[in-house]
Amino acid sequence: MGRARRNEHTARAPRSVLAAAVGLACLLGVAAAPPARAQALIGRVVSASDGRGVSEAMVTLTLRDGARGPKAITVFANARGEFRLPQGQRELSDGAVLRARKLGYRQVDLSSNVQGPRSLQLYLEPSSDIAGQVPASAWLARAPAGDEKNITLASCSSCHQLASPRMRAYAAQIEAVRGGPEGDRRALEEWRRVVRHEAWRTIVKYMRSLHYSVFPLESATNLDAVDWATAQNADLNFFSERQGEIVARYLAAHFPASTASLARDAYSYGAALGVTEQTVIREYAFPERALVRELVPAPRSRSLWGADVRRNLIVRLDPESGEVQEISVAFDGSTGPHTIVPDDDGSLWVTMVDNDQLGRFDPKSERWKLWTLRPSSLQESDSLGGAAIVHDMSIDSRGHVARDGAGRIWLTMVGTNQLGTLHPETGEVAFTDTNRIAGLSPINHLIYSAVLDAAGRRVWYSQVNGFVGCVDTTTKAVEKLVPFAEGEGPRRMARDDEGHLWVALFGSGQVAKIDMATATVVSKLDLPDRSAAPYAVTWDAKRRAVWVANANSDAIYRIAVDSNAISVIPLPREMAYLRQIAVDPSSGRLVASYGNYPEGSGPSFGVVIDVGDEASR
Amino acid sequence: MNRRIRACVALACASLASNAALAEALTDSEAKHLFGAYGCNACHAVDEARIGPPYRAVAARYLGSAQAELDAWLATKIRLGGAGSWGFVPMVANPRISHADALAIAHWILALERDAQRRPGARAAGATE
Repeated sequence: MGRARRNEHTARAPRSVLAAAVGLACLLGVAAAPPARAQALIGRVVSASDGRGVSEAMVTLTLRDGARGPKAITVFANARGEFRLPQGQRELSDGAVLRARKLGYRQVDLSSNVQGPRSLQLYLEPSSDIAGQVPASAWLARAPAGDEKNITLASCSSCHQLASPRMRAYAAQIEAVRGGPEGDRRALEEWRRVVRHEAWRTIVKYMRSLHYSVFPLESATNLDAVDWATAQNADLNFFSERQGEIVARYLAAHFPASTASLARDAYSYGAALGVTEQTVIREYAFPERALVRELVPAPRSRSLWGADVRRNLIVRLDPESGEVQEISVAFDGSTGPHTIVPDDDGSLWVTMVDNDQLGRFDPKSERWKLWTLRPSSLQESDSLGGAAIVHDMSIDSRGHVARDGAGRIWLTMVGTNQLGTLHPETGEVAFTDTNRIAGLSPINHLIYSAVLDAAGRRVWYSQVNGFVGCVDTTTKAVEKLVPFAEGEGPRRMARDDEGHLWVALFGSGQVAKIDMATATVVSKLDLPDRSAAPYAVTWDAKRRAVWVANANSDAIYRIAVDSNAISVIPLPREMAYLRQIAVDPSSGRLVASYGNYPEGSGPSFGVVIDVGDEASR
Repeated sequence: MNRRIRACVALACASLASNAALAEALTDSEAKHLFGAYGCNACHAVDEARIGPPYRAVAARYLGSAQAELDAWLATKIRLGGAGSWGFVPMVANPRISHADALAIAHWILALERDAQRRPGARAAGATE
């Protein structure tokens, strides 16, 4: 088999500098000249019917390809409809496009490419059909709540939005199927029910084999390397056979028969917007083939760092220029960089789903150090059954890599439902069993994130199809378990500075707050959109807030922990499939990326948000 | 299929047919790469019945039809999906696949039986319904 093996490796990174934005700019002769000083673009969003200002409208300036800096900049109108973009005067006369959006409205006068005015008016009018404006989650908003819905959300949203445009197109195809018994309405209805069920069951099968798309195209773990029975083996998937059947049944019964239109009152954000006229969202384009799931700042670096799971590399984004540098992992084989976390010294730690690798990249020396974490219980196979899938590493309350009292980093091992430990100085690697749930194979548990307590004595882990638990870092025994119902989907976690563990409940659209001392759930907060599929939570000490990254709702939620009040930052892009949010400690900016599976199926952007609140100043 | 969808498919086919002659013949290795990159192999194989029919069965069914039009028709089916030819469960649409790649894939699939027919001693053409 083609799986490369090595225990420890240090090498200088082979670099390939993309520099797409700057390269294009050079071709156009822009980079040679000093950058022109940005001129703010001031304007107003007004109602086309009465000329009144439209508050909280989203105004997006999309720059021409190759322009320096972000690809798009978005701000929000104030109560009078006024907006102020930090730049745009020069860009508008240079091919940039300006658009206004607000849920429930449509733009009626596209004021793009207007030459030179210092103030612009954009017109919106109410729209009775919001099908083209709502996030993917809207299509499940009225579907029955409960365990089956939670299991469906938790299973499907792991890799794509629910309901993504492709899912909606497929539902339309199902409804377009003709045939069935003639003349008997009840028999025809029964036939149509069977068609729907069998069609969605087929999609579940399709998704089982598409699990192999989690790995880079070059991986030895691929569909051509396994027989069909293995490709379809639910014990090697992120959801069980039983769960797959629940998903098919739920979608057959409750997925909307038509998504061509949606009444204006059928969806809302569900909470007040948490934006001001100072809020600025900057989106940076990655190459279309990129699949940068996560983007983070790092100490002593002005760059942002991302992991590209499909291309065996990490990216370094300069938020000033928009330049993207690609840095290959120094490994002879496929790696699949998945999770990227900084340490206090500014190095980037990267878990890799392929070939059992954990890497540390030093931006100063541009050198990698790699470790192999492969449990001995794994079979030697190019199927998912042979993959350790090194997933997340232990973090502290700032989202930095955290070590226990003995200096070890703890990691979640999806392939074996274990925790791994690495002592970076000695290279010592070990594995610890976690709790098992009857009816689930090891990989079915989908063990996910790891958080170390402040004393470094306990490491907490989550299982998307199971529980939250903690292991004593000295005895390595599972010490406490916090049970969750099937489908609630405890996914990424964060710890605050007050002894609480915050857990994103991916399936149920909630956030749980756990008292780490007693291992009890203090509260479960319903998010504004219960189909949002909250993937991760991030503690923001300065704001005393928890940020929630969502897969399905094209929005970020902010939980004010003192009041449990929740507000919404809507994102300016459809299929804004979020995984992780990091808070830049110096600026207070939020950093994230859109990472749609498979690559190319959705927008590929890094995102930086000036929240526009007190903590941003 | 309603009238609007029929019209769209017909238009797409017509457009593709005009480009069919430009479809580049893929090598087996190139075809395998595309099947992996686009996830075709999650449902299909050359000779094995997976979720959908084997490529060779598709080629055999349509053997004898005009090549350019058939390439274009199958390419459209690859991109838009659809149901009816192989049972009532629809095939998913694949909008990520470019027109050019869809045409090349269609050409490669259909050539599986065309080329076999051209070889000396090939069996008579026939549908495999």
